Amino acid sequence: MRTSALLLALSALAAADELQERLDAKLKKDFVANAAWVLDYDEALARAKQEGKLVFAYFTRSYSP
Amino acid sequence: MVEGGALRSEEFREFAKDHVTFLHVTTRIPGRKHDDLLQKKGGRGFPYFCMLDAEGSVIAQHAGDRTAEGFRKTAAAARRFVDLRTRAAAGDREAKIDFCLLRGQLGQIAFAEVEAELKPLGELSEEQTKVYRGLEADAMVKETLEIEVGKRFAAMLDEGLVPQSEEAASRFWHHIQVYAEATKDARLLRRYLEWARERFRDQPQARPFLESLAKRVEELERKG
Repeated sequence: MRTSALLLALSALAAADELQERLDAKLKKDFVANAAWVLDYDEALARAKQEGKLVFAYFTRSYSP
Repeated sequence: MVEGGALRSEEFREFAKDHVTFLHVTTRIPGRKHDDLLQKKGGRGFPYFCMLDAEGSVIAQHAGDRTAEGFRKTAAAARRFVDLRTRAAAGDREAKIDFCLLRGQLGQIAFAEVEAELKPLGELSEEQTKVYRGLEADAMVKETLEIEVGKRFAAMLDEGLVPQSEEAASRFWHHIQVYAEATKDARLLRRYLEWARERFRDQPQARPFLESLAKRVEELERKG
């Protein structure tokens, strides 16, 4: 019982690692370097307020292509 | 793909300078902050583009071409919205009218609300009247489809008249659903739910839809 719980926890960790790798790969794509993308939501809003600009938001995913 | 095209272009780089460009990636990494932001900002799938103000409110959802030119158009519409909102809040009568009409055009408020909001604001210009009449016509089409047709189909259902062909049945039940939702008729919506459960029985992708429908039916029944 304990072993299977441990295995489950380990596989969840491995899955999270893989998801992190996919995110890293996504952020290395060429288009990301083409503009000054802000990746943090709260920072994007703070900058919009500070600079008097609107936010152009692009939503994408990394967990699958 | 937009990432290999528009977002890598020189035009987009220029466009980006006039805005705060925010990139949101849904990762499904457990516990990651704002990972569900797409739904909160009105997105239903990827890719999704929209304009936000500094408070995080969605000002415009991008629906046109996924090109720098297309993004510029959406951004211009968003700027017009914010500009009118600011001027309306400062008491500018013309802006109040235009802002109200624009929200009607964007589907943010129903025609009845447009009507009520405009009443104390006096005469509309020729151009404003044109927009207003267009919104009125939209509302009449909606009303006719939702209420008139639905009322008739609901009466048919009560008489035991249920279409047998696939095409007629799906149209019939669609209008039953719309009518039941618009009039908050729990009994009728439950009839639709029963039909939908049977119709989509073998389609696992319909499950979330059926579950949220069942929830609405139960809510209406509790209130009723």
